[in-house]
Amino acid sequence: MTLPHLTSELAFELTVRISMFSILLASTEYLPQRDQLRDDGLMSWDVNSARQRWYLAPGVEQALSAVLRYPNVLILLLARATLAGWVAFSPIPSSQQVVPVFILTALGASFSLRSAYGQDGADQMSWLFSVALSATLLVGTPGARLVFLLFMAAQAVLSYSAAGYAKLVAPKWRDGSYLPAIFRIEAYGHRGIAEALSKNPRLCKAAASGLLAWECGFPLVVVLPLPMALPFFLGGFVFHVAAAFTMGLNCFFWSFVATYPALYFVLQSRGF
Amino acid sequence: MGSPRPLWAFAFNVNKRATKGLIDVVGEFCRHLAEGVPRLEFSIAYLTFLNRISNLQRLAMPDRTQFMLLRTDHDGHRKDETVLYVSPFHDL
Repeated sequence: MTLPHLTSELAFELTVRISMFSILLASTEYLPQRDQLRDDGLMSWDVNSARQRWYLAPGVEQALSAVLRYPNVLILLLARATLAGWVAFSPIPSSQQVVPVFILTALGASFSLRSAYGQDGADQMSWLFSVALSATLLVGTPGARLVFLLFMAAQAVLSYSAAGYAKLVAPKWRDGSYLPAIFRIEAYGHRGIAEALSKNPRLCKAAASGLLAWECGFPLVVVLPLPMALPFFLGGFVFHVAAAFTMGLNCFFWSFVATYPALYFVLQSRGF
Repeated sequence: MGSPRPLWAFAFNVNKRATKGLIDVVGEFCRHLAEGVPRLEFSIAYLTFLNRISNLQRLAMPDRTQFMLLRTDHDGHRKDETVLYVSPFHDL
């Protein structure tokens, strides 16, 4: 079987555009729930502006409040979504999108100062991506873009393996009993799956063992021949689709699958 | 569990921020308690926290006057429970 060949340019474009779509999605998802961002909401700037002493320094408080208070923060989110959408779907190559990427990264940094509540691993991945992309476009050379692809590939391997080993040390992850517990909670739960898992401990153990094996084994992609590494990609794709459907973790799909072109390119570059 | 998540939420999930936010708030609150912040200091320094917990309560808690904190051991067994009155009109 001949595997498709991915050029560095195409890997870079795919990684950037899929990640930008994740940022577009994450930013727009706040807007229908904008009550959370009001001063009496869970992500109140009125409350969070007192969170760090330096937020209250003369000049800083006024500057931050001008951008982050409600409803101004909605403009920030709209601008972030618009810029991310532009880079994701623009006919202009991502490598030439220096100004939008820099503004987008600054807006992301500002928003993360506002409140850490409600953010998750997909947001962290998007933040690392934004900073790395800004640095890459600042340098602006093909070599910098290769380093960017290497960084995103390494980030994927590190993220999956860290998540796997963090679970592996917990006995209740190993025996599968955490799975029905997770699906029972309202935030990330699913009634039907929780009921099915609760009645079938063997299924829980098998599913948890599969997840642990995939996450902990993910670093093997670095040494395996490319065709043998592909099942790990497929496993990730299935895992993120399942997590989106069952747990509502939709942005994880885009922000993590965005690293796959970079990882594929890096593995392909080894020559085996 | 509450109402099931709508099917389209796999693509566009507007509620996850609030639910994850609640988890973050409770986690932070428990962390502060576990660190043993003095009562008076807690009341003053975390006055804003009351606001957050009030928000939390308004969003998610069926009983609007109190929030029950369960403390468990490492195996998840209940050790004790503390009822915190979280209205701004009650002292912690």
